[in-house]
Amino acid sequence: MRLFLAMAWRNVWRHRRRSVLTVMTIALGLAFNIFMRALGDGFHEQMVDNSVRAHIGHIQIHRAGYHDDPAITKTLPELDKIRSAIDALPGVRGASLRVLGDGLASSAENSAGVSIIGVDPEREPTVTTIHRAVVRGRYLERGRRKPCLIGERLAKTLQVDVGDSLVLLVQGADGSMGGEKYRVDGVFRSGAPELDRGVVYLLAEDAQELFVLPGRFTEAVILLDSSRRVDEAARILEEQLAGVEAEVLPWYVVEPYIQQFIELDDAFFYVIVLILFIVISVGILNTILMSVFERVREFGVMMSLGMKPRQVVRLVVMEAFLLGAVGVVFGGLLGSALTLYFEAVGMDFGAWAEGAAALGLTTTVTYPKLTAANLILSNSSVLLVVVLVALYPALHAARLEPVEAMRHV
Amino acid sequence: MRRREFAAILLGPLAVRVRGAAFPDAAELARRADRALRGKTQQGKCSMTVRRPEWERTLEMDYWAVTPDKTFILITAPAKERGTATLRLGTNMWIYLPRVERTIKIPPSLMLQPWMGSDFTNDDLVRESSLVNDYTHEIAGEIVEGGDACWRLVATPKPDAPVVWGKLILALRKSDALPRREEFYDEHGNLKKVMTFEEIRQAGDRNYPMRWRMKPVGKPGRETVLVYRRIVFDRPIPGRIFTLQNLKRRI
Repeated sequence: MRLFLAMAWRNVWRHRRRSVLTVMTIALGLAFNIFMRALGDGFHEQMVDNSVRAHIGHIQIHRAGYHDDPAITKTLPELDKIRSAIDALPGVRGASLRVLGDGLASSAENSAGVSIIGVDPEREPTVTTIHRAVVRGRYLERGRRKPCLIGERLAKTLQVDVGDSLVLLVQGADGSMGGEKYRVDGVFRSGAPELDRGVVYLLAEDAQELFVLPGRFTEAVILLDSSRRVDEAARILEEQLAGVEAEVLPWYVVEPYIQQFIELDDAFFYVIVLILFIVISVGILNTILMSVFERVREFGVMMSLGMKPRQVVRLVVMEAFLLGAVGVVFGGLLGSALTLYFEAVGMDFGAWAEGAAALGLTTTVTYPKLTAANLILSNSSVLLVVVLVALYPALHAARLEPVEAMRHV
Repeated sequence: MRRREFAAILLGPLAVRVRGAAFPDAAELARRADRALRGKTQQGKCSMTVRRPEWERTLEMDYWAVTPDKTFILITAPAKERGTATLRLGTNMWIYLPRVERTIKIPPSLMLQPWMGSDFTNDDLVRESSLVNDYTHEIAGEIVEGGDACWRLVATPKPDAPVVWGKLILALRKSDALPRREEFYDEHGNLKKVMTFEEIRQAGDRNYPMRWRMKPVGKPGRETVLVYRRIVFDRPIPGRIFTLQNLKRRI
């Protein structure tokens, strides 16, 4: 084996320029692969995080059947059991109860259909970041008379600002018509269009009064300390709430389009990677093929001296492997360095801010994320491709007829 | 041989004419039905009961209407809604809430939403005028509905009519063109709602269904029943009733 390694190494460096070029091709291709994957991973994680922290949280609990067919009358059953299940859950960063409904928001100038969210102003900030997105006025506070918090775009549509009043017209849970006036205490800009355009936050008590839901809530929302624990936490909650008529939903069931977008984006990425690998393969194939054709006489001599065809294959493949390994080492280092640099510094896509907002990103700076999975997968797949590609020239060399080969020009 | 053929050619058109004469003109029947239901003006008292699996609620109302498109409704009971008024002029609708002293315009996007949580949409209330103008009509036979012999009228929307239904089928009384039943079909041909007109009695100068029952299809336990307690037809109504100011005055 040592002999083959030595021979392969010598053969590779017999054509220094060609080998260096090939190694560079592999290295750059791999570095690109690693960086793009990391950028994608960082971007996706940011999308999820933004959505989770803007509104949906990691896990939501409702009355069973609410998600598929929401109705104001479907409120959380057995609140005590749900509260204690959440309290007992490990790894919870924040939890909050909400009242949810729809209605018409009307100002002196205009009316608009809105979603109405009644929140506890002390618990809600432990789950979402809207309180930090207030641009004018203040966040909701208990003790203020019927305050409301609206998005910037809604404020613009209704032509109201802090201090103005808004009437909400709804149908209550008992079928009656509810109409109440609220003072705009604050205006927020979250960056998420659905929130900025279509949501009115009220104090939970005020929402309960408006919708005729005394003491009742529609939704429990939970933020975990790590998004990786979502499935486990959901499972625990379901066990705890086994007899209760409630549904426990992880974020990707609540907003499947985020997950779907990520999968779509991944699919595009794989297409790009495929093209990349084809390009690398062609480069390597070219190199190895050339080196084999150049050495036909050499192979002829070696085989007539007793080298077995299988050993010829091993030699050629090892040459390719060495090229690949060197390329992978450099490419891996380059890719990692590039990624880690931008992971620390961030990449600002400010020029595309509008598009980013549409995808639910509230900041325009993206941080690529390097993961072990990324490195392992990228490195090994490049190496594998290199070796596979080399098989064709290797087998060709092995099938040479020694005597004819020796006479090759 | 030849004479028989000759006779058939001569008598053929006559035979067709004889059969056709038994059916009334569809468009004319639609107009008659429209007139029978509405008159020039209408005012009175009615109650609307909305039933849902989770609750049941009855609103009492005073109303004034001028055909084709002016309506003023004042809710008199129950206490929570008392004093609420809605005004409809053409395709615009406003609602006044006494508790917050605010008049709210209902945007067009909400026209398909239920009126006051009932099975009538805002659009239903403004649609009535268009049965004659926005549809083409055809008589599709006879039917006995609620004990009355009726014509079956099929109304199909004209190509660019601003109408949400794919088809309407009405059972109209042969005697006076009053509807006994109206079926609402969506654009895919699915039956979505059925309205039955019950308790046809003398009201003022005419017969009138005093109870209208709207039931959505496939949703058991849900219906809306409109009961007229008092109607006066064709008495002139002052124009000031149909103004935004009147929403607040509510006289």
